[in-house]
Amino acid sequence: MRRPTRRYSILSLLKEARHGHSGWVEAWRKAEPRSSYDVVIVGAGGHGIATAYYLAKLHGIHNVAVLEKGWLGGGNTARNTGIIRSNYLRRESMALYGLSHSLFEHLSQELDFNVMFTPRGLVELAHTRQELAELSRIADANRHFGIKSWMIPTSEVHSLLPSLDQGSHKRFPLLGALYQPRGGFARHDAVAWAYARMASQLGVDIVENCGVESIIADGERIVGVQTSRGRIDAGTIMVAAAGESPPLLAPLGVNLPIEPVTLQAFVSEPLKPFLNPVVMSGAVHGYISQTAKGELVIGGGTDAYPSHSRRGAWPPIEDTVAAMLELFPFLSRVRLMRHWGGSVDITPDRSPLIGPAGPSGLYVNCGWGTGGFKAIPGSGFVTASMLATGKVPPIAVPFGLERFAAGRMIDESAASGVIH
Amino acid sequence: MARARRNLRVPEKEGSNIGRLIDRTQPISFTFNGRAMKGFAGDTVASALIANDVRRLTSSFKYHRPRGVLGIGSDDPNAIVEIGVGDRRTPNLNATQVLLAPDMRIASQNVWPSPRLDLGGLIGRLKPLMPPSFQYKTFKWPVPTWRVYEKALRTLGGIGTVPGAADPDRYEHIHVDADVLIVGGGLAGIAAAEAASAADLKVVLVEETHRLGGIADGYDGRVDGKPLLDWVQNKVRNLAASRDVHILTNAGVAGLYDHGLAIIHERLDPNASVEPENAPRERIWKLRTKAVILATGAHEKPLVFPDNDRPGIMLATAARLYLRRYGVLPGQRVVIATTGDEGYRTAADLAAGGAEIVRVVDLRLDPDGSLFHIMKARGTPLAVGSAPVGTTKGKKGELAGVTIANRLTLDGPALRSHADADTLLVSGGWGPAPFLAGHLGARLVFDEELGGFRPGELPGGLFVAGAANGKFHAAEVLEDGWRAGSIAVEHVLGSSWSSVVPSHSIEVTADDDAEPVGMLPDVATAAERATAFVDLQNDVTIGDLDIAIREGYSAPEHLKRYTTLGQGVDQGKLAVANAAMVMAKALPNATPAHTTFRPPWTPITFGAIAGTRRGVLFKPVRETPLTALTSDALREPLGLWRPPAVFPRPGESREEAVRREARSVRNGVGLFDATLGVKIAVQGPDAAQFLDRMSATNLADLEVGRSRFALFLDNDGFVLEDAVIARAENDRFIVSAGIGRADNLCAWFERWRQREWPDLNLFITDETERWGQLLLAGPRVPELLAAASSDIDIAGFETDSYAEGEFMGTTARALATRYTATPEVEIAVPAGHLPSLWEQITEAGKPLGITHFGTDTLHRLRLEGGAFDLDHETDGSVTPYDLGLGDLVKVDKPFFVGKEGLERPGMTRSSRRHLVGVLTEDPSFVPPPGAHLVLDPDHAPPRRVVGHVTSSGYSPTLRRSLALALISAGERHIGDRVFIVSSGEGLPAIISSTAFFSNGEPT
Amino acid sequence: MLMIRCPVCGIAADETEFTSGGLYGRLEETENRVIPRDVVREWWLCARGCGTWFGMARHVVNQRVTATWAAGDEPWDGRH
Repeated sequence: MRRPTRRYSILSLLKEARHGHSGWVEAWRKAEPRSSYDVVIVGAGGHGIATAYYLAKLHGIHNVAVLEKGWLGGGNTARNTGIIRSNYLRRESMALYGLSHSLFEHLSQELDFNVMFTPRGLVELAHTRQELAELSRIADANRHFGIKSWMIPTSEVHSLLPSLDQGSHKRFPLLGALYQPRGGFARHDAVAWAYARMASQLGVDIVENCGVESIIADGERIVGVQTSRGRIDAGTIMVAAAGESPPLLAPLGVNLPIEPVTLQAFVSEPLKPFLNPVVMSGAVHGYISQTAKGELVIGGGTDAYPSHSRRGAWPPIEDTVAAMLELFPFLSRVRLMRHWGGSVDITPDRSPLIGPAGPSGLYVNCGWGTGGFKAIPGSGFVTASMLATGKVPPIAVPFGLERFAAGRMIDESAASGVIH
Repeated sequence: MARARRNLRVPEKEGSNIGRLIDRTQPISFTFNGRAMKGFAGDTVASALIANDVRRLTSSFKYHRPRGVLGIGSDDPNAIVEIGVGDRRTPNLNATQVLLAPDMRIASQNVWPSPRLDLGGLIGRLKPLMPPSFQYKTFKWPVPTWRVYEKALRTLGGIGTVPGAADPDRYEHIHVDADVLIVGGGLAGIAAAEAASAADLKVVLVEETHRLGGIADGYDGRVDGKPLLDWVQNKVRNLAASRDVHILTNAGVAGLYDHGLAIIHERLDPNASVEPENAPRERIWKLRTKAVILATGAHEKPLVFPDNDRPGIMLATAARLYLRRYGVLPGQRVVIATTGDEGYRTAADLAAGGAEIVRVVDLRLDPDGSLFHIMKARGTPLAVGSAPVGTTKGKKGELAGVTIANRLTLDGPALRSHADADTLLVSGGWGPAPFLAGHLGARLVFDEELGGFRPGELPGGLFVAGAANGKFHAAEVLEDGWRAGSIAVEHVLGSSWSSVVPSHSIEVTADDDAEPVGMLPDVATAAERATAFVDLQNDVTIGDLDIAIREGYSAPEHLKRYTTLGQGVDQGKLAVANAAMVMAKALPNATPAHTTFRPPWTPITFGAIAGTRRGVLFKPVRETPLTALTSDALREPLGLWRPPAVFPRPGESREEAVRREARSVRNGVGLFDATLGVKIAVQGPDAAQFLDRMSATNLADLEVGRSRFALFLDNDGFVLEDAVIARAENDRFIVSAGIGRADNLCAWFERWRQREWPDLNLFITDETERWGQLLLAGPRVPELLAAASSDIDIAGFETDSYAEGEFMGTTARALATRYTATPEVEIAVPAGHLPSLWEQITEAGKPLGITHFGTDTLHRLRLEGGAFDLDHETDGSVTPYDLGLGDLVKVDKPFFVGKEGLERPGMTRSSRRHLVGVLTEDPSFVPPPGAHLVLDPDHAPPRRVVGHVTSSGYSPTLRRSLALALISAGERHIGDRVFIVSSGEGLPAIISSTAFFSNGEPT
Repeated sequence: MLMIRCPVCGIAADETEFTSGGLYGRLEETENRVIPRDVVREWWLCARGCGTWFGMARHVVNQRVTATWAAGDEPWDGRH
């Protein structure tokens, strides 16, 4: 009997190739829930699993369960377009997303799983004077914070994007662009699977098909959760369930300012490579990238009303396609292969909610809205520290729930015309 | 040496139905990969290529294995080619769905450097190293090399090549309502349409191919005494003649959406004469319907065995249809492998067409159907209870032979035999295809006996009929179609509807049940499983599924994502059922489930989706009455408009023009098209109270004939809008605000009036477009106005005055403002009168050196005046206090919108950013808007930032650069030094007040 | 894509002709309310039609619209 192959490398691939790949083992254990854990995390999306991984890896807390009502990574982790960037406007956001971006740089090595982080560069086009000013503001904010992101003139945009149709004849002529060379994309599913595999190896129980029905408090203290598979006790509970979080917390008197909205995305049929960087455009409203497989991954605005549906409405698709053809008219004969939607959890200032909530021992990490995928490593890193120590790390402090009542919002909506 | 190409077209035979869709009197020339070929009118690209003995059409996606035509419809995973040249070159077309046209140029894709020598095939040799998602397991070290690998993978990725030029064709949308939408024009769809139209309902019948009847023409038999095909054609004629039924062919239902919306993608036939000259290429139908019937048929399942993907392997029923419709044979030496009776039906046809039936391999142990007995009696070589378990290939990778094994002896080598053949036709039975139901959230149920998915619980208004509902015999199909049509009628009418099911005498041979089979041989080695393809388009083998399951990716969505099963252009239509059968065996405790079916059913072009929203119609430019008179302007996008930015003279740069215009205004008089300036009338007994509640500013004591600058806040207390409120009469106010914002402000007012204070008695009217408006600015404005005929004492008008009357012969409203720190009057007249007024004033102003100016200059002038602009200085997170406009907030009002938000502690904390001026030490350096201000430019990042520039420009009046900036506690740091980093250098500047200039004099 | 009928002017049109405006009721009544996975009562504006805000009951998962009403003409007696 051969020994199973756990490590991933070209050598293990070669070895397994000789044996018909029969020696690979389960990426993560299909755990059965136990009756009690030190920490219970509600939601096995990227944020929940990453938190569990860092709890086990960096804080020595292994007695952790991640409870998922469906399949691992099946929410917005599986539905987003994989864009990675950190060129945000506000200092608080730059710190958090910057940390995440830097973790992405070595995530494949850290997790022994190639998450295909591909920094092909990210170009955000400015088509009006006002956009130019807004993007310049972000560029300068990035410069002083130390994030490598800057404005480039139209000539440089054209050399990065030779196929872009942006002459002066256009409705919105190109004036310049914000460029982050280390921006790009990663394989969304792979990030969830990679964290799950390592967390599982470190002893974390990932329990799929286990829906949390309610959170149980005993006076001022949290004591456990009631699930579809019975009660599970825990003194520390984190809810990382995106748009499902508010209904879980409402019975405890915690009202999370989150609105669920459907966000759609779509892919074209596979095409030979023609588009190197990720392109985003506010005025025409859409963004586009091309995967290694050749598909164009395209997204735009959210649906126009609150919704928990994963089937979007048709108008946003039409709007986004029209926008893409304005940038790349030759794509007109290319075809849409598949479109889908996810329900994103949007906060009033478009920044996430991280911190303690309600009874002692209860924490939240949600409200990531349309841009949470890129934050998974950073969010997991910071949140794990919060759960392990009971103290909110400085980087997460501004993202607490109390900021709305205090009037200390971290408004990223002002500077993000387009959603990603 | 190139193989001699055979002619696989069957000669015409008197009285035979063979080749009934082609017109042999109309030959068509075309090329494939540059080679000249001939087809006939009526051919599809696929049938023409088969007739010309083209076996290999393309290379597969991952391993570059040679692939040929497998099926005869949109479910074909292989037959993807590029068609056309120049700006009409179109990649990734399914050859089975495109009708052949004269001089068509067809090319293979995914072959490099050429179709004859695809070096990508070498990659296939590395297949053992490429299990599913192998890329996750490697390319990690050393870190920078992923970039290199990724580049290589990327070059290998993709199928077609993007067109090189803009699309010359046109696309359009049409909106239609219907009672019943029927998807699929086969027997079930026809019967359903007949039932629904009998109730006088409005029916739309959508058929993906160019003809109705489905695959009825693949069967013999009689209905009501007539040959089946004639009977069907008669039905189709009747339906087409019905006024209640609209038939759309070459049209696929791309997706079903909430509230009865169906998106239908119609491909117009460029050869059809019914369309006008400049007809669109494609059309999107946005159909709202009360009921949907899916009569989408079934897919014949391919068989899954080692090397089951070679060119020359085709679906049995598809081969029969190619022969009957187009008179082509798939090859000359044919092995047929079947799990049901379809294989015999095909064998009989092909034998009659002149092919040699090498063997019919029946996977069942004891077939007993009539077709079996007929073929047996004819002496056709049969291998019962056997299965294909491998294939051999010829020089070009095409099929050369089939290995057949007896199923009872498992894989005993002694009982394996080999048959030389150029063609293998497979039939694994029928898998229903009600997949569109998934678009509305329905889950399909796996039926083990059928080896496929059937409709489960369906959402209201959705019905499934015929083969899509698991009914395969003509009699059952017709009855089921009628049944579905009838219940759809009841759904639409909301009442029971008695319909008499038409009784037909149907004589069509009934098939015995096909046996569902999974992987072959039944006990397969890992090596065999590793070359048995289940999803041909994405090169997914059974071995890949095994590995994925071993690694725990067994949930349907995980399996799909890990192996890419069903993620191709064909959406895995032929893979769904086979994968489920294999999974059922691999995971006996789990119920096979499918992944979510996502729209579109088949890919649709981006051009069709965008419709007419391209080029000038992408976001049509709105104009003002003066657009034609200001054609000498340089324009700048602003919302829906493109107002003049400056009026440059020949040879003048934009900046030079701004400075000239600004100087002219400061020294004389300028004229600006202010039509886009918001004008909202608020009138009624409670108008004053309403505005006082809406605005943070005190408006209660505003006198008639006066105006006041006021701020409007959002619920959080941030500045939302600024406006000048004029009291025209006691109960009538005119709200004037920045250009292009009327919709926002009006909507904001209405929201509060209707939702919060329905008891207040007032009306709100947006008059922005009804009134054209000019802005006159400059010290000589009074001089100019003094000469104008007016019953308003407009020349002596003091700031903040408002009056209505007559001006230069026209009804007018006048408002005196100070936005640009110089005498200003806004004059509004009915929009139609604006052009003549513009011309009159331009003429009258000539002696004073009047200048037209645009938005660039307006902003430069207000910058000199230190006035903020909503679009520049605010971003939804700026308070009145931040803008230094605390005196415009009447804190002791009991209520105003945003008051509570503004009272939160964070809103007034001392470190908030204040709007101040910034004067660079180098007066010629203009810091760009967005530039940040730092205290120590040499500090390594992250360095402390104290604020950012919001507006800037060179002041020709003050002969230096000016900037407005939001700076942390800026009001307390007037006179302090800050730095702007430009080109790596820290350039010093001094914080100042915003009062750069007042009454025409520098301060 | 929703198909909405304005209860005030009677026009039935695509969702693009309307504007969604949050939970139904006065502002102070709707603050801090969580949107359930169920039917919600909302404000909608007949933006391209009569310009009136009206009430609508919509299921936020399956998008079924069960009622629309003019403000002040609520089809239920209680308040939320």
